Amino acid sequence: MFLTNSKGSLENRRNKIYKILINGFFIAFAVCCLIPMITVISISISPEDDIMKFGYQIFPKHIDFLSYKYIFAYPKQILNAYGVTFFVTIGGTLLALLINSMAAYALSRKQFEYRNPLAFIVFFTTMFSGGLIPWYILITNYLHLSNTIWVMIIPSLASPWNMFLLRTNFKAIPDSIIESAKIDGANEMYIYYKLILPLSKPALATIGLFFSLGFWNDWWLCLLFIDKSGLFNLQYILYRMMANITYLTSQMPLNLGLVVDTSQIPNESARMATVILAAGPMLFVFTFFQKYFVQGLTVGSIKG
Amino acid sequence: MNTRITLRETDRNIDKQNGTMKKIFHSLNRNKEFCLMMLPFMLLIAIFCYLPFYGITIAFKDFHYNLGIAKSPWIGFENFRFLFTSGDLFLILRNTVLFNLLFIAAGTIINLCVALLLNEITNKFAVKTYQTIMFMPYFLSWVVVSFILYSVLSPDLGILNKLLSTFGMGAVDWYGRPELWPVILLFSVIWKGTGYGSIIYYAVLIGIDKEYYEAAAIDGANKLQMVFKISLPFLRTMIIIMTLFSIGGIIRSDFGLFYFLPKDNPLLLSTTQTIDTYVYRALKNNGEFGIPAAVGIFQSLVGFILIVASNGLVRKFDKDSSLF
Amino acid sequence: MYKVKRTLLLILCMAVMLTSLLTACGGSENATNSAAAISSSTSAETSTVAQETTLPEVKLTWYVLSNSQPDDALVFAEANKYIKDKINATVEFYPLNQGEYNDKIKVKLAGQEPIDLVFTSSWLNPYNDNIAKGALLPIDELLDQYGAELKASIPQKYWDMVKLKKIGDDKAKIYGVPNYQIEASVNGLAFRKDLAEKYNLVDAINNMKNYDDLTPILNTIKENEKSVFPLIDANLTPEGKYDLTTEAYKYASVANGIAGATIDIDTFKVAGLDDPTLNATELKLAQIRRDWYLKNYIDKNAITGNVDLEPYKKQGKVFAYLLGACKPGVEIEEKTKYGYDIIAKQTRAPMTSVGQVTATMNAIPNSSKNPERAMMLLNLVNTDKYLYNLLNFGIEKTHYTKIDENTIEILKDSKFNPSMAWALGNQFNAFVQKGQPADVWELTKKLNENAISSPIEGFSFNSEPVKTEIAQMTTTGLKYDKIILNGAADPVKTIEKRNKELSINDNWKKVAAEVQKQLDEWKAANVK
Repeated sequence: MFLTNSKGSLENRRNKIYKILINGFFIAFAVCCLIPMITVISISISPEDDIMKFGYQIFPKHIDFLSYKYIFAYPKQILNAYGVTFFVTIGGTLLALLINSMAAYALSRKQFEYRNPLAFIVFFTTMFSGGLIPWYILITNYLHLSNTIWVMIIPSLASPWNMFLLRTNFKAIPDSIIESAKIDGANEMYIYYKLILPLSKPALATIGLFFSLGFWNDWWLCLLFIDKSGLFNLQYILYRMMANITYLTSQMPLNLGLVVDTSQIPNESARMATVILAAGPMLFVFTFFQKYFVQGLTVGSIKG
Repeated sequence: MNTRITLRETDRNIDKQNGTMKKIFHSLNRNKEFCLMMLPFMLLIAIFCYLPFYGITIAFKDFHYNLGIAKSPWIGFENFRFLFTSGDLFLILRNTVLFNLLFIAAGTIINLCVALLLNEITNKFAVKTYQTIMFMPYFLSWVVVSFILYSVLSPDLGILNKLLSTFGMGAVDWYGRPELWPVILLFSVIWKGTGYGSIIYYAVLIGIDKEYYEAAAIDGANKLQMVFKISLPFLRTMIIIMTLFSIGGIIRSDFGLFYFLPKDNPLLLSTTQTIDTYVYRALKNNGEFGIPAAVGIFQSLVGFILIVASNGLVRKFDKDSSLF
Repeated sequence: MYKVKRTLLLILCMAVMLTSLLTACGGSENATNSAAAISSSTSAETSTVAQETTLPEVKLTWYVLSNSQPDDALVFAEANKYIKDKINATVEFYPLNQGEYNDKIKVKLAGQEPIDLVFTSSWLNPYNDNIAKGALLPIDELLDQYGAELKASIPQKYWDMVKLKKIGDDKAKIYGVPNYQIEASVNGLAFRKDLAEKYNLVDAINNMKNYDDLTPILNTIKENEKSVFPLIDANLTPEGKYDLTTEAYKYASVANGIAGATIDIDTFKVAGLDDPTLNATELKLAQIRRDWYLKNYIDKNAITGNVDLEPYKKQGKVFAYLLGACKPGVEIEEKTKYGYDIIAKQTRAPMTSVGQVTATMNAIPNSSKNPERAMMLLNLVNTDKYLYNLLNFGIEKTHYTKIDENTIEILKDSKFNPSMAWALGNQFNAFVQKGQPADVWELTKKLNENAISSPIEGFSFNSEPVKTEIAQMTTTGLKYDKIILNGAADPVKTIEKRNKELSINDNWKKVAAEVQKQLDEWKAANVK
């Protein structure tokens, strides 16, 4: 793409074919990704009879918004869950970015004498853990975080994996930039805030995206620590619905003569509608972050 | 006499202590800004990872809820017996390791290719559109993916078999052919994870100063040369870090992928059962914590040894890229 | 930079506002709760001052197996007013559904979180494992002291059946309260009546003696009805019986039906993988199923995953299926659910078993801070019609209307209808719903009374000493059972392979020996 056209029309034509090939590849890939998504949407607006008769269809034979009506029949819970999820995602991502990027910056500086032992201490936790039970006891009995919104944020704030990725990015920033700032009398905090962060926008956007996805998709913390329905997040509501289906269809209670009311099972279109409701908003969030790593960076570009 | 000597010795000791104290103090003072910046992160790690660490003993105990971890009786390696005397040990180890190697190799190559190709597209709108669409499958949980996959592969209603029959080919019993599943699972992983996986490389690529490419173009370099001489060297550290992390998890597996996609079909277990699904299936219902903890320790230990060894190798050749 | 700062600030402000909002919500909830508590306590004072003054107020937590409903808060508040009156306690009800129950409660029990009541059963949040792990409190004394009414409401033989002896204890104890309802398992088969009549199969169905007699019936359907599967799931006799008559079966399985440790109830001996009679029956059944599979009587998708039979039944795409509980009124129940008349044929006499009696219970965890009050609550829920029906069907006129004293009709669009009466307490206290036979509970009680008692009734196996072996055997079972039960592969070879795997480390022999040991002990103590 940086080639000048001075080499004539042959070069030009080759370039064109090259572009068509690349775009063709992406279009094919995109279609592969889109079809299932469209299918999910299509199922969510299909009447149940059609699904039983024809199976999953890419385009619905009849359109019916019943499943959305079913989910929004009592909108309080789901709107509340959206609120919780938004708060956790936004608050969690901002806090996590701050904490992890500071640590990553410190670990990326060669002047920091303890960087290797500390990196090892951090790394060690990615391999070994004390397991679920003591961690659970700590959070509920000692930190008293259960049934608060913070329990969905604080335990996953420090992420060694994302921190190391950030450090890798910070390491790529030439020392000369930092050294010249030091000569001008800047302290580390200032350098981090005024130099490193603006220079690392694509990396921060990427890791920020990873964090926000983590917070958005989490249902596990909610399952473990939240009992009050007012604090349920979106993914947990989706999870409990799916989990219930799996269990109800396993026939276990039926074979013991326990009456299971199958009308409690949401139909397939309702299941898919929840998928759409859970994933939809995140696509907008994605495009928000995307803006930071698609813009060609001219100021913050890395010089070797 | 005696007292004087002892006095002098204690003096010296105090001096020495003062020296080391001073040294520590100076060193801390030199690094105080960094330490302060690391403090919140290290605090969180200390609280949430190191404080509960005593729980690792569950693997060696007969854990009774009412006794708690500390008071439950020790039973040595009894909990390890489940995995190590299992008739399926070889099979599940093989599946787990081979799948991971496959995913690491294919995943890295494809994520890199997609990032590099994306970087070749000049039209901003096209880049955004492709990226957004490729990212979509990431939002579907494996449970939902398993529904979709079933709709594609189901023997009679499945889209794929309908397609095959229109081309005059016979239907394939996808859920009855274990040998096909490594490919199906690989395809699913790539389909779901590429949008996510390629971003990290793409973020590095767009950070590279365009001048490099312009200079190379003037020198008459072709696209491939630019990739190998400019893009890949910049990406190297990131590739190494990502691979190191994956190597650490080589005998772990993405539970959802292996558990939900094959739909619990017994015919497919020979190629889809991994350590994690095996343990889960065996202990699904009961409140057993000791055996999973023992398996976890085994997985951690292997991962730890592998990652430390490969990190050592990396340090030898490229100090900056190593993890620690 | 400024811009970024400003947006950052803005977001932070928003975050702070949101938190305060959320905490405010939480606060107001607490406020209303305590307000309700105050108002109800005043009413309590006026009504029962004399008798309950000694009881200090406590808060109980109950993780109910249920489906959460929009009007949960309303109904639970109403229930709390009543409970407060009776036993001066406020109960936090947390409804959890079947899918999430294990995941959530397992960690809470292991972490010794103070919980006062949980659901436990032979199939969900397993009773036996919970006892072995020390999760549940023995309640014998509590029951005598605070639950006399409850104890009297359930026949003694069922109490004996939920008793379990923990390793190290000298006698068996009660760890949970069964939700009294159908206590006998009655297996049966359902056949679509319209098709059976169309092809004159009714007599054949009624005269069936064994598994082989099914084949011609299924064959007729296969040949004449192209869009109907004769069967979906070929596993029509869960206990592995060849005869389809109501005669008693002389084998009983333990430890979730694991192969290799079946008990011959006549001789009190464990019949292992080397028992010739058992093996012959298993092979015979497997060969019949193989024949069905090859003749396409079964939907071949059935082997994939857990078959969801519901869509097949709703669409009328299946001719015959297993009835887990072939009990009085089952024809009406099935018809209201799927819209087809069925012929129900019992294939086993009603029989009481530990698995059935422990199929749904509520228990007090070891971590409970107020076990006495928890027992009082259990007592209340199981013996008080008003409370039980309130928790099941909600509030009269808001959620249901009464047709007569004992019959109700659930209002359309009721915001409270969890439909989990069987998980809550004594089901014989429940209102009869419109559509159910008026004497449904009397019929069920009669069925319970007439159920055959097995000689080993009351024996439950403690799998803790052989848990590793059982875990390994479980994975083997998952590998082969579904194939054998559906005839998806050659039965002789498959059974041979399975048995070979079950013999690794002498697994099945160890388990069989342990079962025999416990059975002998139990026999010595209980059979005179």
